Amino acid sequence: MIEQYVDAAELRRLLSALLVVVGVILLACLFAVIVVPGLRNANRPAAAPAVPVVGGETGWLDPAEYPPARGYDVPPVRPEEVLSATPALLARGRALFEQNCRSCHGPEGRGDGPAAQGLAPPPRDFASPQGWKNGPGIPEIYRTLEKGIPGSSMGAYDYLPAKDRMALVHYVQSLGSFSHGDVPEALEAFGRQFATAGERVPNKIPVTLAAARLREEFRPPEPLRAEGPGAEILREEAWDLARVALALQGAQTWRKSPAALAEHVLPSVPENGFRPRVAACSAEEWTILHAALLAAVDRDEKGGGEGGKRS
Amino acid sequence: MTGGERMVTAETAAEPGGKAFAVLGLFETAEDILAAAQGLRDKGLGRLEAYTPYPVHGLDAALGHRRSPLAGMVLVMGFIGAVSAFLFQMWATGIDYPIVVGGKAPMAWQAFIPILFEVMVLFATFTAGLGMLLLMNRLPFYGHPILSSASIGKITRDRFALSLEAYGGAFDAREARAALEEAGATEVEILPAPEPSGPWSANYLLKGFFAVGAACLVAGYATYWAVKLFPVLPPMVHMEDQPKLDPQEPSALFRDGRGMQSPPSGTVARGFLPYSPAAPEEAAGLANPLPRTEPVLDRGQKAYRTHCAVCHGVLGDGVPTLTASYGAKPANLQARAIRELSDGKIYDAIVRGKNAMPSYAPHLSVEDRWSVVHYVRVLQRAQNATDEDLERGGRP
Repeated sequence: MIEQYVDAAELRRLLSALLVVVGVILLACLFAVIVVPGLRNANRPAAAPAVPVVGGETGWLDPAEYPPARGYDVPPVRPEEVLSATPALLARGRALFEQNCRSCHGPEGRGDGPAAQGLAPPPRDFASPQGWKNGPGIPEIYRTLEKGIPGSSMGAYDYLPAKDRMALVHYVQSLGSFSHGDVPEALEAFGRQFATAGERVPNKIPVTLAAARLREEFRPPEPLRAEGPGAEILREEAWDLARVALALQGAQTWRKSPAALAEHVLPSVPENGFRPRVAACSAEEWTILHAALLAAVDRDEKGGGEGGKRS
Repeated sequence: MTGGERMVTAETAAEPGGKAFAVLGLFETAEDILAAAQGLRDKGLGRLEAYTPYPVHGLDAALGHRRSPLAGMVLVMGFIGAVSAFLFQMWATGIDYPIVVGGKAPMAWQAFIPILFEVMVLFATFTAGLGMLLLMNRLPFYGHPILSSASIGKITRDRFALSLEAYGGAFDAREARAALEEAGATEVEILPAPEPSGPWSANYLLKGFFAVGAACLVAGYATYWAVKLFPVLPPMVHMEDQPKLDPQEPSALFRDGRGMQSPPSGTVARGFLPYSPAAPEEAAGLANPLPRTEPVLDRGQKAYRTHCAVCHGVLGDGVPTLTASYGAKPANLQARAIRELSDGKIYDAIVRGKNAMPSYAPHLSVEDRWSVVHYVRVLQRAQNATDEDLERGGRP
């Protein structure tokens, strides 16, 4: 039947042409399946190590929108459980140390952590008996954790529960092999505070609700109505009297003197309502302004708290 | 033909082994060629072709022309086009990069039909056009020998020509001449084979087509191995690798290698004054000049989540993503000591930086900074809510 259309030679020609077309299609397939995906993944940087999820409530798209939770009381710590270093306390303390202290105080507590470089004074070397500001005893380290050390980079860790703080204390002591000078009587007195005080875990509400509550509680102050020559200066030097009122009523330091007023106003120009050129005011103008503002703020405070109309 | 070979002429073409294109015989009338064609066809000396000044009825049948295989070619290629389009779509959207379009499963064949149809028609039309020109008519064919024959003038006027053309196997020009003369041809002419038509012949085009495909394959594999073995030119890594300036990311654009740049020291933006408190204590008395309104808190949230949350955590509890990666210990903004700080001191910490935290003054505008201070208060309130807050529950 096929002889009606082509003879043998013609058929060979056609079949070889077909072979070429099919061959090209197959080559394209091979190219697409092997080369293109291979190129796409060649030199692809290795995936970054997975970061374990920390913080936030799991299962919530926005970690700030957790359900409200009522606070509860944590029963007081039994002093005999925490006054001496037990293996369980030391293990807990080590874990807390890794999380909270290691970045500055270093893995061995030698004060050589990666974040210690920029700190002045440098972090404490727990292995050395010298230079402890609050002292190396259990009550002293506990107090340092609770209050921090003012004037240094050591912050307060008051948000850790008392038992965790005691675990840290014991672990910190275990890092230095010198006598920490704890006296049993003093420890007993120190332990008494655990016997009396429980701890309260506060209520939690979602962040949007907290924002709504703070907005509700906010009462915008009356725009300042200064009089006399002070009013003229104020009109020249301020662009938003409502902000001026906010910046002044939230603080007291500026009341002392015209110089204190300048010190209060200048760092947050212009968002506090003053124009930058207020910096060029003479001492005389500051005095007039100070008096006018004092009078205006006092009059508003006496005038009552209802939020009136704003300019 | 290579230069070493001698030119083919009518004389040499007639010799055994000479390259003749065809032997042309002229006849006086249409009846003559109709009668001659039948006899010549049966002898099978070559492909029989007729050249006449006008169409002669019955000549097609007498020449015994086959039916055109073009329809079958179109059918086969249309089928190949349909199958390859279908397989390609299946591979591309179902295997290599599975993607859901319009809620359909990755291999929903119904969605492939329009493209399947289009590619089928594409293959079929290309086969019909190119196959007719290249394969059937053997074009391009520059200068058909019949046009330069001595008889062309008569053929276009009042003579009818039959030619026995070399085709396929061996062609004996003398035998063909004898057969034509026997069939009653008045004049017989041997047409030498034309010069090969060079790179544009159908044969060359097909080979070129194949060569381009093979070259693509070789180039593809070469690029693949070159990129793999000599990674000087990394390929585009999807969209994750975009050359742009990111905060908190290194950048090769600046000499210090940081994406976040501080303004030149000693400069002050227009409309602002330099930050004057010399120590955090001097800033303690500063009051937040922004009202606690929704736009301000929203602005604070945006700035906090952009710049602060990476370290201080989305909730301000100092448990951020960076802790796991770098072992950093940023401040817990929920600590009592920080809850009791004045707004001014928090503002000062943003402007001046604190401990390992750098100054964020270049990256946060003054309005942003005070908004962030408000937002920190919101976060602190969220984690230390009053009983009344709790009773308000989900009803803000």
